[in-house]
Amino acid sequence: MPFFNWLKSKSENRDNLSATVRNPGLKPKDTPPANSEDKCTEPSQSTKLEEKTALEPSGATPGNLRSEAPTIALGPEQMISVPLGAFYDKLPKEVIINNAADLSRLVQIAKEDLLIGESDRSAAIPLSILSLSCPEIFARPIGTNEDQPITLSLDYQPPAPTKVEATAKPSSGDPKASLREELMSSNLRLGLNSIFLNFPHDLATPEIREVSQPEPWIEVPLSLIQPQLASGRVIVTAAKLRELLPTDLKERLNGIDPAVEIPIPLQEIFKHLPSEAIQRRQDQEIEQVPVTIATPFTLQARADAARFGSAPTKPSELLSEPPLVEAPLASEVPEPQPQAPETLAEQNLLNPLSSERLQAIFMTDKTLDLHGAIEQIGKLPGLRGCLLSHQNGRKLTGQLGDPEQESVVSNLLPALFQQISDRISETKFGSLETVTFYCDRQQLSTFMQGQLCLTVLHENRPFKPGVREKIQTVIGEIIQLNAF
Amino acid sequence: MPIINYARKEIQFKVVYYGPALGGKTSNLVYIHSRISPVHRGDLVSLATASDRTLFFDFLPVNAVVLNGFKTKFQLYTVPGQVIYNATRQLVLRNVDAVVFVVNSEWDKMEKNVESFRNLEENLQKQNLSLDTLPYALQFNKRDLKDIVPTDYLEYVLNNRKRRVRSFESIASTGLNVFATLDSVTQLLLHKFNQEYAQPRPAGGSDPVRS
Repeated sequence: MPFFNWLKSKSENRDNLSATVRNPGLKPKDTPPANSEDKCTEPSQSTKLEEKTALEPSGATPGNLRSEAPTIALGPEQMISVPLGAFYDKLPKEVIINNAADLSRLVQIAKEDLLIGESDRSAAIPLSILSLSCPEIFARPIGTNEDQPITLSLDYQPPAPTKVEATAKPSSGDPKASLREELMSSNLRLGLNSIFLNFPHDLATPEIREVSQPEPWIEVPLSLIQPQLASGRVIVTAAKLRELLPTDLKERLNGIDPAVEIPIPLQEIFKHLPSEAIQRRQDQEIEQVPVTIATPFTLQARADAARFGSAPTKPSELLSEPPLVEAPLASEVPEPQPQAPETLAEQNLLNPLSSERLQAIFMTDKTLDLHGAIEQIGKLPGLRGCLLSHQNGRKLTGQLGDPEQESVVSNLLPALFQQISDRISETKFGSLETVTFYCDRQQLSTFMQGQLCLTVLHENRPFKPGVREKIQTVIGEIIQLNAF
Repeated sequence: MPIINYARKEIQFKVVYYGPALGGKTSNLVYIHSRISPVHRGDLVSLATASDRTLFFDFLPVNAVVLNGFKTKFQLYTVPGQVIYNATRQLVLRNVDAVVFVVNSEWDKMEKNVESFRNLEENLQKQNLSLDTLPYALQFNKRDLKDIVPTDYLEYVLNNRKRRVRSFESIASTGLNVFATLDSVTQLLLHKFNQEYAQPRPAGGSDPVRS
């Protein structure tokens, strides 16, 4: 029997309720009958997907409910239970989640939000109200500025429950589908203490938050939980929760609006959730860059990876690292060997420096590469060694004799030089060219141009005439040849 | 769409850090700012509102690789994560070239994460952009906290599109995987730029892209 006829026949017998429907402002004279939840089976048995209407017509049995009972029924507390299917097709497609919604699921709607038109067997409700009543099907919250009336069909009959369909065609041939059906028809056993402790603050009473030992459990259909997981929260109505509660705990929810949404803590769900419930789609295409490009942030990323002792930027577990066009990490290079270049600019440094001017400075006919040029600097009068490093602390070539010293020099001096240079540039001294450190055992001088930092070790005496200027010129040449 | 300045031989990219409030977007930028040489970056500028912040800074790295004599300049922005500042987010997202979506790994922030991600999709759509093509990466932040959301679930909720992007577990306050995320999204950006601009330019223009 369509709902509307039923509603009218009911209203003849129950004037108070019919008056409420026609005039939502009026309160019913009588308290509605006791909630049907009290008559529900125990949680362990409540595994069916279908939900009972909030108020069943007297004499209705579960059997005739499915075929003849009204699908939109007056409930207690001024609420109406509306199947999702009664309005799902009317929703704007751009605001709903593109999931297969359970059209038989009942949504609690306050009667005062519903405009019931008796002539056309339909009712209207603002879209924003619907988005609050069943947020899990909406892709985003709907503001009142986007409001539009959504028409409900009061004659709507929900489709037969999924479970029935599953038994009608037990083997569809697709093992994944049947596995999923089986999964969705199962229940999750959730601890109640966690749910009660996370009750909405405005509803939580000391009685509700009372921790019971041993912890009581409820069994919640996975089909109720799984569709909501993608939205980052899982809620059930207070009516549904009450229905699922063991009999001795139902009274804890007395006085709570049945339509109020109660969050189920995700932590509790994930303690028991089978991994199959959050399987990713199978047609995903993993994004990869065919060749790793050195970016201005690559060096820092690798330095951080080394600092944190983690593999360099290993993200999602399934992503394979694309082939590097660059050299391996510093830590992977044997110590005596010069470190491999990190960037193309650094790589260029290793190419032959085809500068006649550089050859002229060192008075050699031999074509010099970077190693050769730095080696030549280390042999200049009054010097014992030379080390070239990048401003980010990476040693490029050369040596000072002690690896520990080299590490300190490479990491510390470029930054220090930069700081001094920045401050000096604010004065009238001119630009900073060299900084010399006189230690009680050794002396060091540091030069910096562009991103290159060159440090030389003295033979316990200051620069001989012309040497400092020569080094300055060589660095300038290297910078120029490599387009720094 | 990057801005190419042929006169100054400069290419400018815009990377936006997006995500829910208190997810760690600002921490990302603060860390990046602290680790880059002052020579190659600008000041970190905070445009403070009453209860949130929009951060912006740009810098000019010299060791760029994409170009033939063209310098790359990256502008990194964050957006205010709070729902009410959507107009600001739309403004900051204008002409965005890449996005780092910073996720708060705490259980009770999952709904906000999803909400913010959908908001990102909507705001991009208003600019005729889509996460199907825009370079972006996910950063699962605050992984140092106890009792956090497993990455499987984060992937299921936020990385379940047909295009599966790279995701990083991070601790922005210490810097773990902060540069890794930025490096990854920058690679995507440069790769896309190379693909789109690798065609020979008309006479008179020079191709900034390394062949």
